[in-house]
Amino acid sequence: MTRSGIARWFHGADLALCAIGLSLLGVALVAIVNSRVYQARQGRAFSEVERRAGASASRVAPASTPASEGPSAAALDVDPLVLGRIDIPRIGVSAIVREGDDDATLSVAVGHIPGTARPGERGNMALAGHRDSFFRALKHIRVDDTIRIRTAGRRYEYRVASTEVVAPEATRILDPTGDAVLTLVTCYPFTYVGNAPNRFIVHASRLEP
Amino acid sequence: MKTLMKCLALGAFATLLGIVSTPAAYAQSDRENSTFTVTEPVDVGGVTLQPGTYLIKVVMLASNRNMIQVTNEEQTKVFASVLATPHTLRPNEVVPTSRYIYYTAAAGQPRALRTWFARDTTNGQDIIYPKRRAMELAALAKEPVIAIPDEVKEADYKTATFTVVTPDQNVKPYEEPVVVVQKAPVPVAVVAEARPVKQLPATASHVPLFAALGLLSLGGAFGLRALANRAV
Repeated sequence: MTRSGIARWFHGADLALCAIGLSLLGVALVAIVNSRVYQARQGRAFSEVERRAGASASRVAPASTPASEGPSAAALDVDPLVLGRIDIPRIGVSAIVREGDDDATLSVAVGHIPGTARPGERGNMALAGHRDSFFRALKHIRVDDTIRIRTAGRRYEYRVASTEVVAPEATRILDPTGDAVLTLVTCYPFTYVGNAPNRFIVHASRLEP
Repeated sequence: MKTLMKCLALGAFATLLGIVSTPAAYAQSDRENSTFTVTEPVDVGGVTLQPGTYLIKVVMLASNRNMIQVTNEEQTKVFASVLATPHTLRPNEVVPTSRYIYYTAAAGQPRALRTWFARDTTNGQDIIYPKRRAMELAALAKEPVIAIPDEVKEADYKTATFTVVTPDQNVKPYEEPVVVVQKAPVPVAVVAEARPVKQLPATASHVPLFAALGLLSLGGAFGLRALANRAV
């Protein structure tokens, strides 16, 4: 092959790699933007739902007057699978919690693992989040940290009791319990690209109001 | 420069393909809507739906009212836009499996939807009927039915006054259920004893992997370009 032939070949490969690289970066960017937009939109809608729930709960007399408060229906784009919001103030975790633990859910929110207790129920409520987004800061969590779960009109506070690293098959951590406990699940190690071999688990107990 | 432009164009095209093929987590099929099929006529808020498959969804209007829209599956045609009020679960009331609760119907008459629970949620919607139809339903079902004046149009949904038609055909002012915040019994989670999942959920996103591969590819491309320049 002549030198110009080699140069042409390199040129073609360069073009292909460049396109592949930009595409992959583009897809990653789209995923990040999609997640941010979802969180922002649902965060706004959830705050409005919380406000309305608060207003409705504080109403003493039965109201038959028409309600006209709040933004229009079109503006309030509520995802019905949103259960609430999780906040861990010390490490800066704050995300919308959505029902489900499928890829689509976990790519935009913290997911409530189906079959486990729901917010407000007695039992083991398990939430899963991506290690490289919403639950990245869990690597800094400590025993006695406070975790807040907010649903429309209710607030629950949990205190971190322990953390552990388990194999992905250790579904025992989802087993029902008699007490109100919260279990957070994310991938481990935190500095790993792709499917991590283990899971990082946070166990927390609910504080009675 | 020309090569870079070509790369950008190709990259933009491929990214566009990625955007189009990326499933949105909150795509319409996942929202507070359900597709349902009826094999006989059904009354939803005074509108009779003929046998067929429909999509039902909630549009929030205010704290005490929502609009329920029934459309075709493609959401290109609206069959009904009716008012509803959030259903307040009574103590010990559980969300029914069917998620569609009907009033008792007279023989030969279409069943009327009383409450719809969106799937995967405990959010129920009590359908509100025009007064004339509410009177029929209340008498038949022997239970109160929430009503709005017959002449109310969709544009007036946000301000329409609710009333309650009793089984003995009296019309009373609607009283919003009081939300009991403190003394509600704490429900015990219904958890499957034999857990069907074999693994904990996969909690690694592909974003870092894509980003890393993307950067590697770009690095490789620049390396090849340097080699190509040297070969010339």
